Amino acid sequence: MRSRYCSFGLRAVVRLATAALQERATMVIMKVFSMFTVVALALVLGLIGMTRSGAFSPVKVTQDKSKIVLAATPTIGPVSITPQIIGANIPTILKVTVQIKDPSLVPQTVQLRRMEPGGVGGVLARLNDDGKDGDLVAGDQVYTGTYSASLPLGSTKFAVSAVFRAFGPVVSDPISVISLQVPPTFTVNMAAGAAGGPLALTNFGDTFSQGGILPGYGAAEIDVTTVPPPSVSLNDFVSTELKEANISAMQTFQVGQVTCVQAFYTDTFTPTLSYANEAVYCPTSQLLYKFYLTYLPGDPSEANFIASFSQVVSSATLVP
Amino acid sequence: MNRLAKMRLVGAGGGAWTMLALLTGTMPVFPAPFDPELLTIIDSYLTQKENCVAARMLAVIKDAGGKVIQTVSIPCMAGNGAAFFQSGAKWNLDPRLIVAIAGQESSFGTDWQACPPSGFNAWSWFWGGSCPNSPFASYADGIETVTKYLRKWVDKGYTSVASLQSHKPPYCASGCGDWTKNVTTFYTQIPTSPAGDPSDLNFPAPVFDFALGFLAVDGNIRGSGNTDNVLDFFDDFDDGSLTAFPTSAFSFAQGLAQTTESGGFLRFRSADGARVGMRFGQTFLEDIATLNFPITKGSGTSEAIASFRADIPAPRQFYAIGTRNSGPTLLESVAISVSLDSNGAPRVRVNDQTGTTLASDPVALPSSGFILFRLFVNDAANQVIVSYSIDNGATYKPANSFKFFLRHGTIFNATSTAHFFAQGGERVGP
Repeated sequence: MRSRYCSFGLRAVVRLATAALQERATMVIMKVFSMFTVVALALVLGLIGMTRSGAFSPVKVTQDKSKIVLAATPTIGPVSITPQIIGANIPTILKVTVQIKDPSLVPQTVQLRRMEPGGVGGVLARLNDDGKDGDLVAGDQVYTGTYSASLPLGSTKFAVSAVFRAFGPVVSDPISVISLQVPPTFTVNMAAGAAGGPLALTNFGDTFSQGGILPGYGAAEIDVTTVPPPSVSLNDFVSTELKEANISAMQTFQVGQVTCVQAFYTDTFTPTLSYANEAVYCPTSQLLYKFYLTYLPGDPSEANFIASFSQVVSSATLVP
Repeated sequence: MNRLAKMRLVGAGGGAWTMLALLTGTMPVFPAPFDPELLTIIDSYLTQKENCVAARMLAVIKDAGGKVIQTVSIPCMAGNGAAFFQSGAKWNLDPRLIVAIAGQESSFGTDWQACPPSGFNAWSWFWGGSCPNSPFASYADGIETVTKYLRKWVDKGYTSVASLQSHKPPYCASGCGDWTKNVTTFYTQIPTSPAGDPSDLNFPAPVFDFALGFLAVDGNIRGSGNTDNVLDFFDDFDDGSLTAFPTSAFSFAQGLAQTTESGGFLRFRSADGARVGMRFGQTFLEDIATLNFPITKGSGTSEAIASFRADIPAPRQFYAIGTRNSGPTLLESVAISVSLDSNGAPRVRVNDQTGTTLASDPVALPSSGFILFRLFVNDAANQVIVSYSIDNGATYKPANSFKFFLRHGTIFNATSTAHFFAQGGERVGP
């Protein structure tokens, strides 16, 4: 059987096909120029916004803390808080680290503070660089401290303050900790968050089988994590992550003001081991929030799991 | 499909990289964040750890109480470096982690407690509830499965060795005291440069993204006799289907699931998955599409023309078409490719089945254009004459006009049949 191009000669078809390819390229180039225009505009707008907000400059606090002045130096940060996603109203130990290299720092003055609507709040914890109490290496200019927090549903902002001999008190950029609702039948695994892992919720007391296998029907796990905004489109990102998964449904899904992608899929690992999953991917300007529900396919409690997962997702206060 | 429809299809597909490449004529060049010798290093590391001699090692078998009941000679895990690398690249998970977990869980397959070595489950990953009920078909099967499983947990936020153990799942269930410490030790002990980072388990393997625009064949195949200017096969990859004719006439060495046809191209993309292949004493991560219709000795001349998007490959990368002999080893006979020379400039290169360069020519790839490769098979003379075009087929430059020319290639070296193929990839080993 000949192909559908049998009436054309090889070179004729090659010329035709090449011409078609050229047209494809031309179309794409036009799209790229349009894209560049948009990107350039976005860059300009972004620069304007950054300058106005001074997003990457620490702020100096005057003596009465009533006035904040933009300043270029000294620098505090970046500040890291682990975990950054926790269960609402559940006591959780937050580990705070910050790098401060400025030699005029008064070391005993590095402190964690809550950011209140009216300004900087009181001291919550002191951060040290003495190689003790969670600080890994003494004298490496990385200060560490812990704070046991029980935070309400929503987002809570913290900051690190420090005093510099030649400059006075300085406060870092704020960093947020997000608290999510924990469904009644689930418990938070504190160790996961403490190790820099996700907010991990299970309904079976973490009694996994060796290798981390879910113990059976009735068992479900919910994980919430973040990654930097992907460099590819969200659909491409999701497609890559769900490679070889059997996707039964994928659709947009609204979480607060953020338009997310919701996917239901099954991962098959061996002939007798598969996981059913629901995942919700929520892109914001700062981070991509990822929510996962995992359980065994055909679990009679599936509807309950999905309802619990929905509670967690919908409790997130995400800002585009 | 008419041209307008094709343009619509192109407009709907293609990512930013594709658009950038078409605008500038280049693909983004990614530094290799991995040690390109990794798969060889893993084999050497395992050979040492297992005391592997002639592909076999001694292993102890213990009862459930930990008492040694037998010492046996079994196949080594060493020699699976390519499998570790291939699965790591496919799932973007550092293969050193999978080596390290095998070190922690079974001393790299030399210590089996209440678990038969014939099940190859050196990772104590009990998908069947217990080790005897959780066998793999081979070490490579286990490597692939455990890598895929752990990738899913890394996606869920368990992005470091410490977090993998942190709440027992997703790995260690009991007696985990030194799990993180030991896995980290093995993970960082493998002598690679850069060393494994236990806080970042991703393995951003070679990133290549090449695109085949069409493949046309006239003569020899399908009982068509000599070239007669009537096409016997043509695929411009514009229907988005790999399983409908004409694309169904190809076999994909990397697997159908790892292959994509989109935007009017057959894509050779590492992001879709690629296979590790070895030839000429070298190792490649690559995608290959082989046309199933054979070229048969004594059945006439044949001519194949293929169009690639004129991407400038990154160092070690290439895209090509060629002929390969049929048979168990599928030896390449002649291939024409684009890669970079030692000065980083694009070059068209022709090689034979031994890897010997038969001809090479510096090429100025057309920005936002295409490069056409042509293979003319002279059946009677057992010769393959290659040429390329950078003006959309208006003119072709034959190999004997290249800056360097040794000789034309041959084709029926090992068998009486051969196949046309197209490929794209990157050399990853030594």
